[in-house]
Amino acid sequence: MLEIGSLVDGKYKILNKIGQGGMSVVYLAMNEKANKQWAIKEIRKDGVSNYEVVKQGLIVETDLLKKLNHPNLPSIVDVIDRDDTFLIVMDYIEGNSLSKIVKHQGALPQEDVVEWAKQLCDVLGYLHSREPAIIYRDMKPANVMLKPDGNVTLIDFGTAREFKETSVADTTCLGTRGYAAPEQFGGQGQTDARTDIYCLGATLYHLLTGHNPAEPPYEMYPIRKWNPLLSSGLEQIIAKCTQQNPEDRYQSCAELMYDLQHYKELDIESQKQYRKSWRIFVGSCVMTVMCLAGAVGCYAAQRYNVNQSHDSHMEKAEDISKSADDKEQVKEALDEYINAINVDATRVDAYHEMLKFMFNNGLNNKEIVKEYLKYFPYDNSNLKKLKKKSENSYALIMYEIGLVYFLCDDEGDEQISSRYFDELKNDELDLTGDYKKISDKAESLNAIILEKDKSEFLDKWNRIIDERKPTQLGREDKRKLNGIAEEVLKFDVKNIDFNIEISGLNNVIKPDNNIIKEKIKKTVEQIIKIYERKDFDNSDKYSDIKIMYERLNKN
Amino acid sequence: MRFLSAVYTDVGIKKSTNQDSLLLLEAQTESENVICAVICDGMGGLAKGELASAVVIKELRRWFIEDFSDIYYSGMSDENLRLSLEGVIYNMNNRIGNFGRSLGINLGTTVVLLIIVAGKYYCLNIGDSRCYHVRSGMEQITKDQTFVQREIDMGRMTEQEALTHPKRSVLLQCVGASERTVPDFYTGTVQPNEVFMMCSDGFRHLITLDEFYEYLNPEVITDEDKMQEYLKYFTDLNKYRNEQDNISALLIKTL
Repeated sequence: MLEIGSLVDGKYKILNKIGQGGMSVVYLAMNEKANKQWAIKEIRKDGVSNYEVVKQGLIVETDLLKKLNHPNLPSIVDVIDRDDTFLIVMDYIEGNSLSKIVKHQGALPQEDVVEWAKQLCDVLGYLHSREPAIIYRDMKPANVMLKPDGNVTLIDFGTAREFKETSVADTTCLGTRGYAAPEQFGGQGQTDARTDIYCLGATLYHLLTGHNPAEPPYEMYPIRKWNPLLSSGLEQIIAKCTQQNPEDRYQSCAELMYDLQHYKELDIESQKQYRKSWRIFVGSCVMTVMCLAGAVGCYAAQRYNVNQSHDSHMEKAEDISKSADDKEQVKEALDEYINAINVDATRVDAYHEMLKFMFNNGLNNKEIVKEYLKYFPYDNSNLKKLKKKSENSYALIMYEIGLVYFLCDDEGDEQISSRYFDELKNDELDLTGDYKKISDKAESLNAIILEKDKSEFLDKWNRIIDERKPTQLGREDKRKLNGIAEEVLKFDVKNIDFNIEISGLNNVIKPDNNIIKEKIKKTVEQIIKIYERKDFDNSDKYSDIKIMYERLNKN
Repeated sequence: MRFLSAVYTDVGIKKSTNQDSLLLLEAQTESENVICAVICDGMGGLAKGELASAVVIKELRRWFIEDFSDIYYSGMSDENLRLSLEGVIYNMNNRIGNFGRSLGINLGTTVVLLIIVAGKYYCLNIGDSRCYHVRSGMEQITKDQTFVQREIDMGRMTEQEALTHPKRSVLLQCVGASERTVPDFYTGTVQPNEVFMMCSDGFRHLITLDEFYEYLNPEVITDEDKMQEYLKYFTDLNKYRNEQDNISALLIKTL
């Protein structure tokens, strides 16, 4: 152990102990002649069981490291071999380790992390390109120092790597090895440059998300699961770095560096893919417009013909739709409706009948319905014409399109339907009579979508079911409860007057436990709220549920 | 309820230190006997693993004598017991973690704890030491908190693959080396003439459940000498089969 205040090798005055590793202690020292601070790492004889072996390794290693010269590495300036200790004199790095920073600040800004990532990638690439290649193997936030000038330095580079490996028989804890690549556990597989790339990926993951990969859930998710605002390009980069199989990762730091330098373009790349479907969609609009242009050209002279043509398309469509029982017929019917709309875009019946048909076939022929929904973007020129003619009709159709999307219920559909509903609200349409209710309805549905009432509601419902002991609640009862919950939610959407077995609900809920009773009460309140929001003033179910609620209150 | 018990620990054939620690305490109250048993399997590079396991054992001993009796006499509930134990584990994790950080080393320990009181057992687990309830067969109470166990649970690995997987000795968490620990907690009822076996992973890797059951079933275990003898028998069997780890186990039989 070096003594504070003592002079080492005639020039380094030991000022302070600044760190401690497994078999080493790090001191801050001052070269008083040159007035420069250094870090001195002391490998202690009593710290390791096989000191001689370790020392031999260290001499080889430090000789190697002395030759290294990179802005993100501390340079080794001197090696002092004494009887009892082995000293390595190197640059003193001021600053904090990234592990400390991420611990205090949580997730760190994307731009900073990318900048550090480039520097780390550069230094790893430099190490890998040595002869023979040097594999760092221990990339983690704790080994990266952030200097006051904003640059990073890779530290803890003096310890011989051979002695870091833990043998398989020893139990280890993920908490200490969370950044390690799969091939670093046990003898299987050789560690190489791709090992460092994995560790760098895991490190970046921690810095960007604030979630240590070594803590529950012990898994690296796509980074935007934690923060959707992060770059999707960066997400791809980190996912590629941290593949289990080295073959699937970046094969060299140069490849990784290229992507890091262009991560924003990767973003654009993914947006392009996202927009592809939108373009097809726009394409189909253009075609519709072109058809229309043709139709409009003949408008004056052919009004009579148009009407007839529209009616004949409608008739054909209705004929087919009545007996449509396979996919081809469904498509045929929808094509006829589209034809009818294209012939006369200002008549609401074609839209309405088409959407009604979609409602009824929506669950059985979801893909077809979704394909045809693309004929109705909100800025569709047909719809604009309809709007010009009658805002009431327009509102109804927009609402119905939204409902069909809602019914399709694939991921993302709810957002789309919400946009249709929004459109209704934003347009400040001048609606009359019963049509006035449409925008309110759209708004209440929108609220359900946006507030995620649906899943929250079902969650609560399931929790109640879970908390009742299985003996109290049969499988049939569970099914019924779930059925009711789902039906309640779909009530308005499906536009079908279904019959809920409310008596069944009454039978199931005979609470013998106050806590459960309270929870059920809350859920029923929730149902009532949803009903109220949806304006079911004349619904029988609503009154049934209210009666039940009162009964619950009494008991 | 009364108990018979036995403990056995052995450094094994490979390691130079025994990093396992055990605790067995039996308390007498006005109405019954209460038993508390713990096994900790320490880990850590520089022969500091035994420190972590010993510190936890010592603290749990203090907990059983001081805190547990408070809980017992102020009307025991599952929730109180659980909260109190979680508190102890939390503190231990911090204390060992801080100690490790101050030296720049990593050390930690698994914990499996069993308390039998008022006809019920309470079992807490962190890591891959195990507790078995031996009645008509070997029933494993605890679930290993290991990387391979989790992969098996997620359906991404078979039991067979787990046996040889390079990450088979990687724990998800342990006391001392994890940022935070989330202990598993198990309870159940206890009848007379049942056996509980707790062990570190070194005791069980190379021995099948059938082999265990043959010697550990309640009919065979009749007195403490026999219990001791069988534990030693299995330890020797482990060494014979070339187990590399420390080997520790304890047995409790209810009367």
